[in-house]
Amino acid sequence: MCLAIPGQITKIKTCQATVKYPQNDIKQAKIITGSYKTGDYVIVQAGLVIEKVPKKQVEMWNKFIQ
Amino acid sequence: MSFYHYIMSQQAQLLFLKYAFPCAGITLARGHICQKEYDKLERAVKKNQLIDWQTLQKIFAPAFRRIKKMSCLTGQNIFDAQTIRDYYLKYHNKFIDENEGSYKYAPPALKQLCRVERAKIIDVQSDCYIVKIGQKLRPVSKMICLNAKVGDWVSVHYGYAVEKLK
Repeated sequence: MCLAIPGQITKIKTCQATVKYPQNDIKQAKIITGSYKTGDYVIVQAGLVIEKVPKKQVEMWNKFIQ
Repeated sequence: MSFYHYIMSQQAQLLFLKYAFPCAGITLARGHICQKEYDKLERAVKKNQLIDWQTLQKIFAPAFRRIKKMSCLTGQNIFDAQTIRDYYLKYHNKFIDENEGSYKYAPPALKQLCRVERAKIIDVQSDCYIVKIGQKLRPVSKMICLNAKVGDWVSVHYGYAVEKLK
């Protein structure tokens, strides 16, 4: 289940981001608003990047989910 | 229950599901529901199908607990659409700000997405609305609230537009 956990952007080509999740799960997501760069952690929903998650909060997020 | 109250309760059921569904992804990720239950909720919210109160109360127990807390203060009937709307538009964010329940353990970025915001639609694309929340833009799914137009105000929860606001 990807939409509830942060994934990391590994590549951006025009407005298409490649997002990596734990267990090497890879998803493609569209960037419509906001500025994102490779390495950012993001929340993806319905194929859209909706929000950035500060790196410091990623571990807290993953803990919250477990 | 009178026919009138029955219809009122059904409207409240549908509205509750619309507001609560956006956090079902988190509920699923936390293992509180299974993929099958998630898919059933998604189907119901897409097709305006009723899910009984008992199931909704079980899946979204924290939301119900908070709605009950609010109704203790306001004296409102919890099985009424206006009560549900009042909760999500006026009280929900207060519970988040107070770190009530599991919000205590949630990272700030997640709590931000959990808030229910009033947002203006500034663009309608084929697969989403772009809404303005404060000074920030967020793409949100059209799935729950179809047929909104540029300039409309909608309530937004997580990555979904929930309903048009007057």
